[in-house]
Amino acid sequence: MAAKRYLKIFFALWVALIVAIAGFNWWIDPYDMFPSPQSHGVNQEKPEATTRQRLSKAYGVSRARPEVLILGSSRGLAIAAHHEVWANKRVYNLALASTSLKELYRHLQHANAEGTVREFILGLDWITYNDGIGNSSYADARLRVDSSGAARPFNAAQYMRDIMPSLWSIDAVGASVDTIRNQPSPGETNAAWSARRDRERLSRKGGNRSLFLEFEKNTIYEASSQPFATSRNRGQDGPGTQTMREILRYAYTHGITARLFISPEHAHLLEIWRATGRWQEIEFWSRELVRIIAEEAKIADKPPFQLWDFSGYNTVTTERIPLPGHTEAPMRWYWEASHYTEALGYVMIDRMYNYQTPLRPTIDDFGVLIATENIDDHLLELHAARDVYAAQFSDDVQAIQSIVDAANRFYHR
Amino acid sequence: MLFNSYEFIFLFLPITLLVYYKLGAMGHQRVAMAWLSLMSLAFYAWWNPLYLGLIVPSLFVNYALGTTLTVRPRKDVLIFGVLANLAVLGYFKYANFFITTVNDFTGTLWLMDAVVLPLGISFITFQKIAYLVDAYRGQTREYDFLRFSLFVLFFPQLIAGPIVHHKEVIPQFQHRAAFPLRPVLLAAGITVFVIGLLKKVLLADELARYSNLAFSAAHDGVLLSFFEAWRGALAYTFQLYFDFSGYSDMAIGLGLMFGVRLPLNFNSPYKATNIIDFWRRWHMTLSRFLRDYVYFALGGNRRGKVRRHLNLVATMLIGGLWHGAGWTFVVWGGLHGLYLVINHGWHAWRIRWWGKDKRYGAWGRWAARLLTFTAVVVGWVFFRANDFPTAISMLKGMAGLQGVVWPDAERGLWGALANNLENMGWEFHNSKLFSGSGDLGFIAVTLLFLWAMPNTQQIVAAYRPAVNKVVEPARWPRWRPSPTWAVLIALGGSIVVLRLSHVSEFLYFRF
Repeated sequence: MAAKRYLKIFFALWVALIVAIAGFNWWIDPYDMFPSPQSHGVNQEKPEATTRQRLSKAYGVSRARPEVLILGSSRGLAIAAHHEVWANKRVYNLALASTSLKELYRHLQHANAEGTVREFILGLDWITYNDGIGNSSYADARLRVDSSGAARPFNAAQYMRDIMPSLWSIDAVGASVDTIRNQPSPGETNAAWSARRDRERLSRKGGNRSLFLEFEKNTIYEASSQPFATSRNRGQDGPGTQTMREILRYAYTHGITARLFISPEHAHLLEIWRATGRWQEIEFWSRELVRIIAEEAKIADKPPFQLWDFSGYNTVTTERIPLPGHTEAPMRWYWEASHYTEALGYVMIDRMYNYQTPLRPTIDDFGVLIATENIDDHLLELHAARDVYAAQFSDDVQAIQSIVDAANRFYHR
Repeated sequence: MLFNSYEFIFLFLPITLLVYYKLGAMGHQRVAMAWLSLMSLAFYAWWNPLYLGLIVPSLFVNYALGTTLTVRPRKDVLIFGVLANLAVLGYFKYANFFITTVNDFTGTLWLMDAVVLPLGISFITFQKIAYLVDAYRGQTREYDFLRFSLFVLFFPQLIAGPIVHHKEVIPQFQHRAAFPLRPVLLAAGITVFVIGLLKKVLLADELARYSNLAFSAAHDGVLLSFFEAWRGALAYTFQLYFDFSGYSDMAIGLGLMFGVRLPLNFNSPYKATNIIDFWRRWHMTLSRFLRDYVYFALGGNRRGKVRRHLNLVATMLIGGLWHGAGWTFVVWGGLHGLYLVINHGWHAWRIRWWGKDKRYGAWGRWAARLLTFTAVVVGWVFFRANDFPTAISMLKGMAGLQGVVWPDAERGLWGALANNLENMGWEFHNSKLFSGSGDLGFIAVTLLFLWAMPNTQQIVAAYRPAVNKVVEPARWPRWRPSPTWAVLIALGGSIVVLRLSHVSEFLYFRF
């Protein structure tokens, strides 16, 4: 009798606890995996999902069935899906941190298999293009297409592997609790909350100048230790270029409009590439891009896709960096030399879609359409602009050079 | 399928149990046994369906051989059976090892595709050999095929033991002991299973991080200092015990849920006061197999003192190699063989000087326990290390030959002594491999826990969790089917579920 009562109590309590845990995690849904109700101040914002974005986005894009995709590396995360140009359209930001072009291509195929993609914008930066520092470890089994692009059945085993820990794990419980704790306060809008979080993060990190410095050191030391470059067996495409061609071809075959852009890197990053001897690589890369865009358009017998170059030396990319320790007046457009703010994301979309609004400035020198016809002139102008920049910001240029010198001494002792 | 997985706990186990008892209650007990055998095959095939191609033919062949031997004990049939089982094990487990060893010694470059080791094959082989030998010795009866298959396939013990003996398990199926459902066995089974899982997911898996850190650092050529090396070696010592004894608890608990008592496998081995005692407490079913089927087969202690010692060492060498195809395992086995020889020698010497009845006092027992424990830890270093340089480096560190490092942040703990220590060669700087007082405290608490607390079967002793009688039932805590225990085990069962897995990929942003 005692044993029967024991079993009853055990099962009742165990099942209740297990169901309660799963119910809690399902409801709060920290990784944005479930169709649970969202309420302001409780679980509407999902800050924890960014730490597991490959998980949440692979399934998220299936639910969203977007017509418009935003593709890119972590930089592209700053482009808001609710820009006015896409009003009344289903838009999904499928940018992935530390990604590779190959991974983005696979996710494009996946998104298009789950819905119908009509257009995408693709943010390009030199590192992602060349798989230089990518540490992407996504589970290909989540995607609904095989590598040839053919649809494949939903992978239930993979889904279970993903969903069970989202319901029952210490990680998920911790993430749910953190989700509840990091929400807009009563009366605060989501936008204000997001801005407040950004400010807090910035001041925690010691302001823009320290973020710039940290990023620059990392990039310079990585660039000095490994010879990454756009592969160029003349006459033969490197891996990045091959994948780029696949993406373009895919867009043409599936009737998708693509808008491409070179990420608006801060002039500091160009300075890093110059000081580490990569300037010619960058030029070569831009030429490769316009070349294959033209070639693929010709093969498809369609007009070439637009390629916007937001980098270079313009009002935005030469934004002055605050002095060390200054956190009160953060930069308008940048976190550090490579990651830009959501505000700039809006301006870029304005520019690419030729959209004007009194809410935001129109910056005429920001963003140049480049193609085979004007690439030579464009690169020449860049040279000239660099000299002007170096004269105007000689301290910054000098500081970068001294980090590069230190890195060289470190690696060539 | 792993015991510590969602699919096992939420699907496999409840379905298998429910159908099993439902069929039993309807009077279809043979069907219930067939169901359990089939589900056990499914459990095994979950990893890789190809494994079935090995286990099913082996089941038929061994049944045929065993039946033949029971009716007419023929030595040639026995030898064929034993060699056939060893050949399968040899091919899957040792072929690569053999080839690399030959290559290393002769400079040849033989190549062979890596052979996939079917799970649990080492355990299955030993179980089958025991069965065939006993059939030859006339110690088996004619078992029907269904009971024999269930004995072999019964999923709780299939992958990693306990190495069950036909004598203790088949009769339980024979006597229909499993039916009807006995709530108290189910309750005790759940308890033992949950305790085993807690040991695995809360203790072993956490400790693994520390031992991996130390051993991989040593492997990479880092010279570990005294505390760093000891922390790594002890973490592994604890990890291995919690992992393996936790697994055995799970197996025993699952057996009980199906109304079957399995043999005990661990009995607080680190409480042992000598090495002979240790092997009566550590992986007990393996010790038993090695004694009955290797040591005795070699002649045991009937051929004089020298042969007896040689037999002991040989048995332990074989036991070492059984654990893994590598020379570090052989050395580990040899070391324990040597320990045993010394232990037997010491006993003989002690009896001669002090007589048979003289017993150790409390201090003597503690000294013996510490010495035994230290000897075992040294053995585990070889067991865990990937190669000899790693093991030697770890041991040098533990011997203090690679310096002593104490975290700079805790320099203050030593007060005025710090300078003296520094003069003696201590270094004060921070280390990823040793955090100072926190680590020492953790080690002390764990040792206290291992030495002072009763083990799982002692806690459940009153309900006979296993085939063996539990010696020294716990005074506290003692499990009984009370509401308090039900609540505790339900809480434990929920913690376990939260620890089964992690959410994939965690991205640290640079900013």
